[in-house]
Amino acid sequence: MKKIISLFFVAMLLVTLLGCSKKADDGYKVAVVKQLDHESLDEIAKAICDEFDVISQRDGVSIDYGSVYSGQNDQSVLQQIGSGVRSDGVDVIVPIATLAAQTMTLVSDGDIPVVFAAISDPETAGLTDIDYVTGTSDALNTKQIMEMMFKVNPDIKKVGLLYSMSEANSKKSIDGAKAYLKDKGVEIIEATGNTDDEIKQAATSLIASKVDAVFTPTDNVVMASELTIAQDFMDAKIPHYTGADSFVKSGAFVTCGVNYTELGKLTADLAYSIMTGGEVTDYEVVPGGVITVNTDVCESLGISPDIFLDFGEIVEVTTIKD
Amino acid sequence: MSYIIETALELACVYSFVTLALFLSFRILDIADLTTDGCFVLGMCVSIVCTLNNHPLLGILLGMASGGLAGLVTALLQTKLGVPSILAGIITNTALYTINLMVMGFSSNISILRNKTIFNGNKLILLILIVIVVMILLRYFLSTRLGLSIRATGDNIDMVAASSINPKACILIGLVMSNMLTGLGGALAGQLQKSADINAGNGIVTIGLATLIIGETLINGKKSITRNIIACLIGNIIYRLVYAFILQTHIIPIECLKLMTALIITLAIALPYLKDRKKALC
Repeated sequence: MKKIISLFFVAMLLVTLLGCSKKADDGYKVAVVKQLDHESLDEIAKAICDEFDVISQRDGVSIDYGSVYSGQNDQSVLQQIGSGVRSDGVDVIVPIATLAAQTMTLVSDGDIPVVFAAISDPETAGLTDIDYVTGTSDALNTKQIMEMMFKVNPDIKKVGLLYSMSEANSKKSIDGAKAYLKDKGVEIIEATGNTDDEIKQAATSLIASKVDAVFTPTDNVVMASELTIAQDFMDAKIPHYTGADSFVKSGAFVTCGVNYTELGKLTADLAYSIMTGGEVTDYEVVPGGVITVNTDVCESLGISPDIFLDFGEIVEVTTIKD
Repeated sequence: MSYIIETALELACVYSFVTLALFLSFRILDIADLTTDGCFVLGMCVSIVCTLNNHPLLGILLGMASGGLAGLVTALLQTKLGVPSILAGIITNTALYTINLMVMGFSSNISILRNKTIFNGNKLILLILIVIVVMILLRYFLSTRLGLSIRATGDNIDMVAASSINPKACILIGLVMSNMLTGLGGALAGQLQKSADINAGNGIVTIGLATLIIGETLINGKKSITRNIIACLIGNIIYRLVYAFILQTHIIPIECLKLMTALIITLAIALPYLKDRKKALC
């Protein structure tokens, strides 16, 4: 028993000592916390840090963003990270993705401004109307991507919706897509899954149903399987319309989604303006004016990327090859 | 600074219910019950949905009850349908994914950032109170006639049957109680964190087992039931403090947290074994 008590105190002491040793020097301190390790979130985190570097060069200030935290998709870890950065006395916390933002909002409790990044639906996530919370939203312009679908093939009869039930992100865009397609009198076939293998099966079922096109919103679960299912869609000559450029880099056809590097940049700018005493405003929706097209898929489908010229700036990418 | 320790202790209290649950199923009943992950989220969802409708206290009670129901399903699968115990837990856990989505109205994440929870005053003191009360009740229960029968079932099921006690009933009651504890943990975690997420239970069973073993190793918990119950809380406190330490010092890159968890568990299990061997060699 003695051993335990002494061990306990040593642990306490160590944690306390370390907390004291970290005194903030001049300049600003930021904590970037992503919910889990994921390609899109990594891209945003990198863009945020890069922009902080640019700002410190430009304005001659020091912005210490340390290392980017990952919550490993575990709420308790996120909470511990939150309490740690709060004690570190950071000027702003920048959480990426919904659960991270919710946890940081709770942990900060008004002490530290929270500038979230990439939350598709801040209202539903309960992150609006809190005076120390703002950020950027990657809400997908569902109407635009549907219009793009009809531009490519005006005679679409059947559209498959592929998404997961475990993503708050997906719901709003899926509802929007359903409303749009119903209005057009197009048959809708839904397929959902929650794990890699279920997504693959869902995709196969859509191919078997002979859909003319497939739509997936900013859904992280589908994104994780995109590389495998993209090949199947390409073989079946079915274009996959998606919610983010990371999908397209993994082999989907096209997106009008948000460019996550742009989003990260905007988030960093917002965080900087709040650090330097700016007001906490409403969250900003990043416009989805960037059309990212995969030329590999274009070739196999026999569609020219120029077909999307009316919709915005076109960025051509090819599937990443490992 | 105190804030880090406060958070660590809060989390330790909440997750010690999961450890207590695993103590009951894994140690006392000697059953690997994998219902835990889904059951934790079930308690969380029920508690959050009730809180959303302004009944936080009811949420805690119903969260606990719903956990018990999940345990009942696992137990019935085992005792009535002859499903092996590990599979029974996995089956229930899989089913719970959908059930949990249903509870949250087919949304994967609910936030109650603006609602009142049971944590009005000092969260930590309330949590410690609940943990201690639950630990005392559990200790008392394990000394009752029923509690002793459950302990005997885990030790020697044939002897229990020969003593004309129904071992299946003991397993059933044990699993229901164990999952009630998990559900209670989930319900408290949900209100503490003010949100429920469908993925919140991922890996809870690993943390539960880790903390159970850490506690047992450090205070020689297997010596008596009382010690073992206290070890559940101690294990959690140590685990969370170690985590806080790592997060603060960055002595291990943050990307390697999970590897660290595995290392902590391995060390905790291996230490007593190595100590014994060293003694045997001398």
